[in-house]
Amino acid sequence: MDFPKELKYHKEHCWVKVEGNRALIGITEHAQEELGDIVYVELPERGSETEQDESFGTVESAKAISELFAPVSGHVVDINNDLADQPELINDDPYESGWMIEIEISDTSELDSLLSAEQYRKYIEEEKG
Amino acid sequence: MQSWRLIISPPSDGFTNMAVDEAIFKAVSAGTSLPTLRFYTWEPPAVSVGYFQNSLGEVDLAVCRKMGIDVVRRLTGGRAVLHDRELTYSIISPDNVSNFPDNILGTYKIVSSCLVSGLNSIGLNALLTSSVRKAGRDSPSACFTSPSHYEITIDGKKLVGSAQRRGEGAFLQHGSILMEFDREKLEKVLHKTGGLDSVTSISEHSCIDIAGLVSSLVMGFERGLGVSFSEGGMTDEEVALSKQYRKKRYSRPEWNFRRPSETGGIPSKGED
Repeated sequence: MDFPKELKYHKEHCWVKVEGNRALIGITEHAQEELGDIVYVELPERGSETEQDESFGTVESAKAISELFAPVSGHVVDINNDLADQPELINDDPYESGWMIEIEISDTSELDSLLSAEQYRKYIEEEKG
Repeated sequence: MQSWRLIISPPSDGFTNMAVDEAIFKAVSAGTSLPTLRFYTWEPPAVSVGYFQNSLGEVDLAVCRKMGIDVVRRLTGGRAVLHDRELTYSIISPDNVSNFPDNILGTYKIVSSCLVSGLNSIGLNALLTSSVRKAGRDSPSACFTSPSHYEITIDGKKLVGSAQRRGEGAFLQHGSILMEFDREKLEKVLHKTGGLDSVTSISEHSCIDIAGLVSSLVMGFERGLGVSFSEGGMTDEEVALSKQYRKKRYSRPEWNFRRPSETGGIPSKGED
């Protein structure tokens, strides 16, 4: 399973790509595999705020609604509009065209609580038991 | 043996039924209530639509009004269900207990096995059917026409339609078990139906009543989960929450007739 080294990871299975004071956020390959085929995505509106560890959206797959939890707090500056019509991008390409939101990070110290690719890999192995 | 809570609710309208499930989900996820198995029926009958469905596109509102059928949007996924002459179950638990795996399909499988065990105990030849058919956006509206993973069937026909929500460290799965299947009514109420030949109901195979069915399903859950259930009621916290959710969400057209992208999703904490 692929966990790019340049990304940071949250225990609720989102990845974060930090660029300056901004961050792109999506779900990991592990998460999309666990969810199965995603048929709908609900994302926050531009201009809204995310709060670390709080829900920022939902996805529907296999007749289940799963909440998405924000890896960092911030101000939502962009959302991936392509996902409204092509939610399958999240399954097909979770780290690139399946990105979900871009935020302006409000507290960079929160990044310290995130995991590296290697730590995340170990975390999900332990979670699986 | 762990003791979990069983709630057998009196018949209620759809707005109350959905508000109660969410109130229990909140309380279980906050750790203030025990994992809960609940059974309920709908009075008056109602159509529930999936969280991402657009009721206006799925349901014939004029027909519903004429027939006295309410329309309510669920917190869970899946498609439209007509709750009329049926029994609904809901199971609500933290997602980190050893009785359930921490994923969607694993949870479906365990819950379905419990239901099958209960149905088998009253002589119904119910089976757990594993299917990989995709539940896409363009499939027919009716939940019962779309076998998904781990469906419960009798003679290849679907008996139970279920849906789930996960988040905040807990899950809610609820589902509808048809006592009688009124095909004509379903075709009138929903715009898009198809595959209704592959739907069945309890009355086609047994003359058991709802109370008897509930008892057998409780035993199925006790066996399948290795827990015992004690019948109880809602806590004061849950009653207050459910009243709030009914008033601010489930009884409102803004919630029931719009998709989440048009409403900004479920109200933020401050509104709860």
